[in-house]
Amino acid sequence: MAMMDNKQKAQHRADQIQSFYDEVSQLESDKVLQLSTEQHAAVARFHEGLLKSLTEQFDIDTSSRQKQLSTGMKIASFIGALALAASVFFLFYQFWGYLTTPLQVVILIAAPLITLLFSYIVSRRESTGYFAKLLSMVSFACFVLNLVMLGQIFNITPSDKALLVWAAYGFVLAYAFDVRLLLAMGILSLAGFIAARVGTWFGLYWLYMGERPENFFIPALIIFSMPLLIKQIRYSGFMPIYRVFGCLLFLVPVLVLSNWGNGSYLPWSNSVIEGFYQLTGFVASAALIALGIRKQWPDVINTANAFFVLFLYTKIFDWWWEIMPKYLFFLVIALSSLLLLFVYKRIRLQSQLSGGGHA
Amino acid sequence: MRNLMITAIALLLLTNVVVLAGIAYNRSGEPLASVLLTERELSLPVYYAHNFDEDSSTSLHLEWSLLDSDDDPEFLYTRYVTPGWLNHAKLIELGIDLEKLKKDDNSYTYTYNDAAHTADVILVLEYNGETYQTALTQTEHKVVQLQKKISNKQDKGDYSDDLDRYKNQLDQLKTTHSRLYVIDAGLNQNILAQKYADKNKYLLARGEIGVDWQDKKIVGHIRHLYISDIHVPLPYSRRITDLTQDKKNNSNSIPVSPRYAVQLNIGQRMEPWIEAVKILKEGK
Repeated sequence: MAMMDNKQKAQHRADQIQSFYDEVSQLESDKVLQLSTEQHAAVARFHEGLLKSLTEQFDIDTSSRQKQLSTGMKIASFIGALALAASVFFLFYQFWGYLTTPLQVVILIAAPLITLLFSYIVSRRESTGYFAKLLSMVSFACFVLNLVMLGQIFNITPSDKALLVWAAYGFVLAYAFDVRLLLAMGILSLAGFIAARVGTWFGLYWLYMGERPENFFIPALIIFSMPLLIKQIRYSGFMPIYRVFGCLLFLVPVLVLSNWGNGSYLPWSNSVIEGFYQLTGFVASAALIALGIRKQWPDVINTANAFFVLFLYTKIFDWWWEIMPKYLFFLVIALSSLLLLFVYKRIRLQSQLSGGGHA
Repeated sequence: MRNLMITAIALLLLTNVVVLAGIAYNRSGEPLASVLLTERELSLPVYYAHNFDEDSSTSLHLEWSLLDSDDDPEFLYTRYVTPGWLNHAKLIELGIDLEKLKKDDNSYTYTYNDAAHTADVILVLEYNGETYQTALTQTEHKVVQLQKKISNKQDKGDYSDDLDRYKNQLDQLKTTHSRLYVIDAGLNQNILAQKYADKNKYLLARGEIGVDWQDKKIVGHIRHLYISDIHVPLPYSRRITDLTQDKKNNSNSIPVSPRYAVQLNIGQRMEPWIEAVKILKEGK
């Protein structure tokens, strides 16, 4: 029996078993296959044991109804975590003026520690992990509040180092409790810190990092490369998060610069810079689509695809919106969409012929 | 999991230890400055800039000004002008590469908010000193000049609006406007602390200087101070809010004389804190 090292693989195995029973039922109905009673019983006993083991270890869904409920629980957990984090912020702001400074400091330091310990205790007692994940999100929010409020209370000069420690805490919590949202928070904080540092090397005050979108190219490369350098098989869904954010941190600045050349470090005229980044946008998104197809990364394909279409339609709008009659403009959009459809269909057919699987 | 938990706890504790150590260091030894400012220089936030219903804290906004270098300025106090001391020599001293900027004739890149042409500096603020006295003298002189023009029957010009405006400016300069003026900037804290050694008169604060084009010349301006809102801890916050009845300062209300004085200290890291609050006048 193959070892399952993460929840994603375990869920995939459970889905395989369900599909197997559906297919056997269909084949028996079509009188193509007929398993004996003993064979049915043996297979059923094996699968029952396997599913029981996988459910105990990974808390997977073994029916479509359970899947629907799990999706609902994930949405509720996500909204609950964000709302609870916001509530903690506003609760503190509402009452902190009535507290003495020492009490404020104690509460700010204790809050992330206590919520962290609660997360750990709950994770040991509750198998689904949703409550522990929710509490870990609150702990992260408390840590952000911790540093922001200490800065306000003691009038500390704002520093980009706060982003680095928030990133570190986000990563630690994400891996401790398997929370993709916290991984995303950690990635964004790390990207912000690196971009701020790059900006200061070029003489920019760190808070203005966004005024030079090129500051985000280096963090984009680092974050995209992380799954290649550090294998994370045990953590379901983490690698796509790194890849998607790596793509976003590169393609969003390129999109901005393709329309706002004034924000670039490059010593060229605005029209040349915008043209350069428009070309870069097309080439980069096409290259990422090709890479995603080759490596079987649907997350990269979908993200790059969305940006390719965005670059294409932005360019078409720039060229033709003013000079074409509107019916002709939208006809061009439709024809270009059909062309893309044709291209993707050819690529898909080639993939089927070469026997490519899915990610 | 255990290792990650230990790492998380260590990270939380270590970060807070570092932050608190920095705070302790800032407040250690003799402060770099200790100035008794009034409500004129540390004002309550304007109503629309602060959500009082959701935030129970109290902070005071540091009000500062610059003396315009223009011979005949329209306003004698503002923070959006180029002061006389912020000339090209000073900009070069602060690390702005003027030669490189002069080669770029695309003046669009010199918009006021262009973050590329800035310098991170230490600003020197003078309280109730020569610069403030100069601003007062210049405004008084302006009022006298306009009164003479009006009383000169041969001069047919209408100066009454200008006279009212300058009289109003003079009143505000004498009663409600800040007496804190930025008079210098530098990169070295020790040199500035030695040059402006009177701790009861000069404040040091970190800020940012930028450049832009005006009439085909490169000019400097002060973009902002990094810390301009100063938290007021208990029990001082209660004394101020009790005195002013609520925390709002409506900019359209009739100006009043300062109601409180605040001992503001600047520490080793140029981070301020409030040492004491003294009530100057009870009621509104």
